[in-house]
Amino acid sequence: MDLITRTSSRIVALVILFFGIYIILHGHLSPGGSFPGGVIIASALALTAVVFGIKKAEMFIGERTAHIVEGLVALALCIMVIFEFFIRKMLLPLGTQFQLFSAWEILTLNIVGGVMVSMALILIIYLMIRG
Amino acid sequence: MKRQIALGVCLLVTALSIGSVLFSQGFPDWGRRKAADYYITEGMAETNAPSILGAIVWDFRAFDTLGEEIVLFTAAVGVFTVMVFGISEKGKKREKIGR
Repeated sequence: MDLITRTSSRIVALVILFFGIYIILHGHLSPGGSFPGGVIIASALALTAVVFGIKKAEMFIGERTAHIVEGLVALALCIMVIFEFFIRKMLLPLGTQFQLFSAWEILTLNIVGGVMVSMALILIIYLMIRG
Repeated sequence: MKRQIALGVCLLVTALSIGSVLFSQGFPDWGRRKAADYYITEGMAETNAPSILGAIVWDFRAFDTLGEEIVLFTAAVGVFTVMVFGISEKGKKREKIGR
């Protein structure tokens, strides 16, 4: 890519990445959550892969790492959702309302789901670019 | 034979799902009145989450959300299967994946 795209995307990719993390962490306070946040994180990696080449993008998250993390997180999500009744009644506290670290059940499920969505989309993007 | 069995199972599931919606007594009323009102009035006190969307998606309807995530997982696995185990246009296999 040319100089303007490289210079601007060097800044914009980081902003998009942190915006995705913000969307995931505030899933129980504002509209958003795991799906939009994961898609935004994956779009930051897609921008890096398109502009700087796939080698630079794989320095953050490699393809094999994405595979392993996605499988493990999907398993954890299944277990957490199946035993959600016990988790929410016994393990995780509710906290005070309107604070960032409250409603721990929804917060943890948002984080786990966001990691899974971003890993799945990153994997699809890598495979599509490689061909 | 396999194809007939698969077709039969698909038709059976379709007929059961359509029939269960058509012949269920009081289902729309229950969904519209009781469930929706309960989510709106009691959802915030029960889950402590101000966003009603997060409360419904991850607490009251967690199994549906698990299904959505499984759909995405299956999409990634399907793309991986087609891209890696399929043969590319030039007839050669894909190179080994790194990291």
